[in-house]
Amino acid sequence: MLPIIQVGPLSIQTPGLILLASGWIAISLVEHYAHSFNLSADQLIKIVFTALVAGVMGGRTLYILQYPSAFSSNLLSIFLPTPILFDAWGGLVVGILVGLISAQKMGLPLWGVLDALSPGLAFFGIGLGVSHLSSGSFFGVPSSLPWSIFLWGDYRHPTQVYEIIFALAIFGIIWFKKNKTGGTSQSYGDLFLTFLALSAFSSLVVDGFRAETAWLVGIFRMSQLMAWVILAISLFFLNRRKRVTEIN
Amino acid sequence: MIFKDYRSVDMRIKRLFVSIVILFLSGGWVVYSHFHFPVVQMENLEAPQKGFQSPTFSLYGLDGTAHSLSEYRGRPVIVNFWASWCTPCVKEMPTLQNVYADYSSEGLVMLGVNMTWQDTKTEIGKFIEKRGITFPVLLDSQGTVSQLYRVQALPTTFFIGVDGRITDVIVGGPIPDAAIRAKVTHLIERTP
Repeated sequence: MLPIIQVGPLSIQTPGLILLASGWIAISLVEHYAHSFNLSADQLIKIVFTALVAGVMGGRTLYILQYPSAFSSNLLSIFLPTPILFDAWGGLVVGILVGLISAQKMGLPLWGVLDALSPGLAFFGIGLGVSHLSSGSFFGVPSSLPWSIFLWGDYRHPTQVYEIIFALAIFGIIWFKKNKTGGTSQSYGDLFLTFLALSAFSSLVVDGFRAETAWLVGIFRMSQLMAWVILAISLFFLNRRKRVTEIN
Repeated sequence: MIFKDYRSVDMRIKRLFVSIVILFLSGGWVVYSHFHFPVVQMENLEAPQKGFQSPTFSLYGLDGTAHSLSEYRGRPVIVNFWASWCTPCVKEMPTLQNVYADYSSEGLVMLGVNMTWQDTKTEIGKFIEKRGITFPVLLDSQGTVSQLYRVQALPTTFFIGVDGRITDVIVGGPIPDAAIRAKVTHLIERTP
């Protein structure tokens, strides 16, 4: 666990740094391999940046709407360049929606765009796991297994390490599948649905070892139930697409 | 042709079967993990991290009064770790003072924990007088509380809810006025 790196007088938050670095590499991957999906790198990057800008603006706007009185004394603070004044989940939803709309406006095949983004998303998943390890969040239940790690006053399942291992495996599978099938319009959607199914499966397994969770539905972890639903939907669409491809 | 159709149907059934098995086993894991790896209530664990129960401490203030975090249970609390030589801490203080002045009537408690083991009482006294700080400034003379809260950089600010749970940790500063006010509003809104 290394939440902060001290560089002289600067205190750099490691999780944020890791997320930024992995996001940058993910975008570079998307740009570099856009041609494998018969898509223009410029158009894809335009979509990614439109989504990012919309996400940042949406996240800030939603935060202001939640706490308008906090900004009333100084309206200029609306424009402060800080991640503190930000609704992360709201920003994510706005970013995804705007990204999808801009892809549609450009007349790009939606499934093709999602496929082209998949290797980048899979790489970002590795960064996300490493950022969780550095911050100590998403920690596991107490365990006496030889590979358990000491965190928050107890020996625990290293759920962050499990998350990284799964993310590495997902990235490997997506990379292999991209090289094998990427590019043909008949296979558009397969790569993204595979990524979605594998990510949902990974979340479902790893979250089972997690000690803390934001929400419970009845007695079950919300994240696991959501992952199960996403897994079911992605498997359904994968099967249906295979069937359509076979009929054609 | 007929043979190809049969093979296609066969593959479809196999895929469907595999999908159902995956979903069935995954569903089983959700149930199994619930009973074998139950979720813990983070608010029952003490750690200087968002979501956890705030570690309790007692310190003396500059005026010699003893302050214990537990005595403020039931009220929203901001704990700010600072030192008089730390430039961002110095810049942040007027904002903290303004927020304290505006929200103390609504129950907000603000504790400025000075890293006295790296500071001097004379400097602290001068600073407080010059800046007109009215919230309690506590002296961490041995560094035990900053160690307990794993303070790695200054300033570090903890936002603590009425139940004693840490709702936010901000490392570095100065924190914008709007951010502190938003977080205080959030804490006060959650006060029963």
